[in-house]
Amino acid sequence: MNEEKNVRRGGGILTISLFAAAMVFFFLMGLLLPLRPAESETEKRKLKEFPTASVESVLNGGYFSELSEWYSDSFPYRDTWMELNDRMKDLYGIRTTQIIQGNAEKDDIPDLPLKTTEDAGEQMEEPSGDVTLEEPGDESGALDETQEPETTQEMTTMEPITAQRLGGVFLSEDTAYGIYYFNQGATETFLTAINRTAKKLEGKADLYCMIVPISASFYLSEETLKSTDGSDEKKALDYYYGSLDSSIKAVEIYDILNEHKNEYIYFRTDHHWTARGAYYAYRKFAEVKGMEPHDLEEYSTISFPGFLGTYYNELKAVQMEGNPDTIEAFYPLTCTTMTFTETSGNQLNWPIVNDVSNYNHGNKYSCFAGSDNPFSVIHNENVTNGEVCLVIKDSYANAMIPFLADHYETLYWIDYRSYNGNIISFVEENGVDDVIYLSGIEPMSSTQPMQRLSGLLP
Amino acid sequence: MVFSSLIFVFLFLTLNLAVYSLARSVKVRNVILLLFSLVFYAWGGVQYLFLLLGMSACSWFCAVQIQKRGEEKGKKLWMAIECAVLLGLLGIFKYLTFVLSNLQLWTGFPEVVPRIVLPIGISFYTFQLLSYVIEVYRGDVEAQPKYWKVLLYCSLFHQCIAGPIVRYQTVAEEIDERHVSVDDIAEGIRRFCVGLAKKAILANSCASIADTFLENTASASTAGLWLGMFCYMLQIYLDFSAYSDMAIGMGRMVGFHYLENFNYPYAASSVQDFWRRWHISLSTFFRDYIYIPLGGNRKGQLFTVRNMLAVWFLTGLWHGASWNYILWGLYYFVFLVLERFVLKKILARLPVINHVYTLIVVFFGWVIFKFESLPQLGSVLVGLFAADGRKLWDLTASYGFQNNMFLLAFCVIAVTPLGKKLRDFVYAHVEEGSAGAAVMNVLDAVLPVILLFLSMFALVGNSYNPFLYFQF
Repeated sequence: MNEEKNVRRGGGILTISLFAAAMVFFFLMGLLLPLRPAESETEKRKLKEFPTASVESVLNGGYFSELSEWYSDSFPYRDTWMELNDRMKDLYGIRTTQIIQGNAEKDDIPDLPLKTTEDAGEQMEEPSGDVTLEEPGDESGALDETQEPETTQEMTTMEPITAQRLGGVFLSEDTAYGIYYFNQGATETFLTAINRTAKKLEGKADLYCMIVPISASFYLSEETLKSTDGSDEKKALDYYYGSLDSSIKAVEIYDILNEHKNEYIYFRTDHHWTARGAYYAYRKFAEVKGMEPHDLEEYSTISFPGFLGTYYNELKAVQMEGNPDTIEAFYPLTCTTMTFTETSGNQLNWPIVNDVSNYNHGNKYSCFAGSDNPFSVIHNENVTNGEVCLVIKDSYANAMIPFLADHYETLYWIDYRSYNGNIISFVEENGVDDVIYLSGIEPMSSTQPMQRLSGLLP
Repeated sequence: MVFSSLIFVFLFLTLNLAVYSLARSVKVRNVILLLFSLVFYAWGGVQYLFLLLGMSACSWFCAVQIQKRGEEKGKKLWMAIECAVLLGLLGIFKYLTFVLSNLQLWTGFPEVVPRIVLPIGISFYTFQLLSYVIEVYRGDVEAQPKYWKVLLYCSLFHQCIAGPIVRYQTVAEEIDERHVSVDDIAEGIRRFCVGLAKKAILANSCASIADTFLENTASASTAGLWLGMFCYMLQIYLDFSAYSDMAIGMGRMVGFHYLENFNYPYAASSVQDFWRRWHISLSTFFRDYIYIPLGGNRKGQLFTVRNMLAVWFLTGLWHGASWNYILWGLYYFVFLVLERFVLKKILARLPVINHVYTLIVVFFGWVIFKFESLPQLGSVLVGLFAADGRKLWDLTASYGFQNNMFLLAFCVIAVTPLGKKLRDFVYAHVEEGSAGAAVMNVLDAVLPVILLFLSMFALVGNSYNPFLYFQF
């Protein structure tokens, strides 16, 4: 066909005008610095800051690649653009069931428990690698300004563990389940540290160990579990508890959770358990300790609907949005406020159960116990039994704190991912009676947090 | 700077086009292009800019000297100097680490192998400069008397770091005199936006699926490996051709007409056909400057095979300093020899099967290309045939497919000429001035902007934005 006879193509001037308008629009938007967000609510992270230049980074290009990253990472309205992108991705295929493999290596779970003798313990696990000794009084010590007695001589300061990739995720309809991977190295680090601690605390305080399983093994069929290619959670728990020093009081909560699995004990869009799940674990703890737990009916409650947690954040599945989780919180019977110390050293009084109705849909789990801070405490004036408890914890413990609060005159909790200090000395100096190690099983397969924990328990 | 980044599209390119359109004379426009190109290149590290400046200066000088010399001997000398300097630098920056670490492996010497960072785009601009000087040597083009124009030719950000390898004669005249019509600009915009979306949406999505299976090949199932490699095969074409689309599009917007670099290679009917459609600017480079000067196919079968071996060894080597790339080149050499002497006539008589055969050869080619570690490559090849007892199927593979099936179907269509043919068909069947023509014109105008928006959404939160051809 002859060129001249062809219909003119391409839209000509209209194409150019539309393109130019769009380019100028985004060009101007990119220049509006005050509109640039500093952090992302949906991703719960600080966005890239404007980089500072050095001769080296300009020469090797590092500066410019950071600049490019800053430009797009903090682009105005980025959360909105990303949400639109997620909607586009919904069209990629049928996404009712999804599976994301974690990037962790999976180890076989040994059949026999681990032996950690004192000698071996000293040699095996020296968490020196990333522990740096700082001058006493260094500002990074979390407790500088507190009135709490804090006399640890050597301050070990370690970088806080920030958000980490969970194991895998398996999504079925509107419910996501974690895929758990057992890691031998991290497990040995943990067991060595806790057994070493048990020896040090013998005769001084009771040490409890509670490991919170993830929901998958309660709800997924054996067959599905196998095909997701995770490790056997139950077997791992048996290995953990079987390898604990005999002086440690194991709080094995798997069975009691399993009995109540038809209740709302795990979130569908988040990796945590619900407060109701934590309540049954609390009953088990009471049984092991030999104290009388309160009945669930005794508590007054509050609900926060519209919670879309970490799994949602990872998968952005529409069906989860259509059926978000509801957080049910139980108020302690005898106290209402707590005090926490932030990483900056800043100290705040805070409600033990906070009203998060107006929080972003992803941040509602923070209603419990002031969320995750290096150090927190409740002095309960209505309890006069003289008992002092310390919980060494990750975020799973947050939902448990309101129940424990009614049983101790003083309840401390320390987040091993961000606290800096010697926990053994803390226990000795503050007359702690009960030390509870309470953590989810997933982070315990991660080497870095376990090394950090080990560093806090010298 | 990579094309598929917000800072390039909305800051760099917008500024570039705006400033460019304000200038009137071609000289000022060229200076603007040059300055922007130097900034663009410096973005990857200011220190490497000196390399680019130096190599361009050497080529400019050698070309001028060659032009001056009447006698063959002097020409040859300057040609040899040019080759020695450019290939020497390419050798040091790209291959020295590879050569030394192999030497170390066999002889224990040297004790320490220096880690040399590969300057961005060096493989591309070295070849551009070489082709320029060779063309001058052969008398195909006049030497460019102005250094800055040689620099502009070589550093022009449209094609400097990821091709196509533009020959000097393609743009020699357009550097000094070029005209753009409204339709040129509109076509350039369309091409650029299609390329951007191809990269930001399709290639990156395919890449992230491919990575789920290919990052940890030991634990992937057989089905997972196939799916992963299938996505990688889509990704590598979509990614690389997207860069060429964007380069050609940006060239068109300002009046440069670069030659096509891809012609739907996955629609090829033989391996030879594939290489006429894949990275055309590279294959013609090797054809014109290696194969034909060595005698091509005019000196008998034995020489033909030798010449092909040289070309395909070098093609493999050009793609990276690692054994698997060399292996990949030789793999194609074997199939091309086979086709030349045995299969050619048979394939011509097998209409559908020849396409299937080609795709299978290309697929396994990409497997070789993908894994730089030879033991891993071996285990993947065995794993693809389930010969190592790995699981045939797992949930990750079946959901990986199910979750992305529409995307993959779309990508499969996108690598064929179907879309282009459809557009041609509709345009051929509407009358000028009819409603149909108007609708098509509006679609042509709206689609680029829609693609621009969608690409922007995909890039803003995209931590995953690999750039495969940076290193070549």
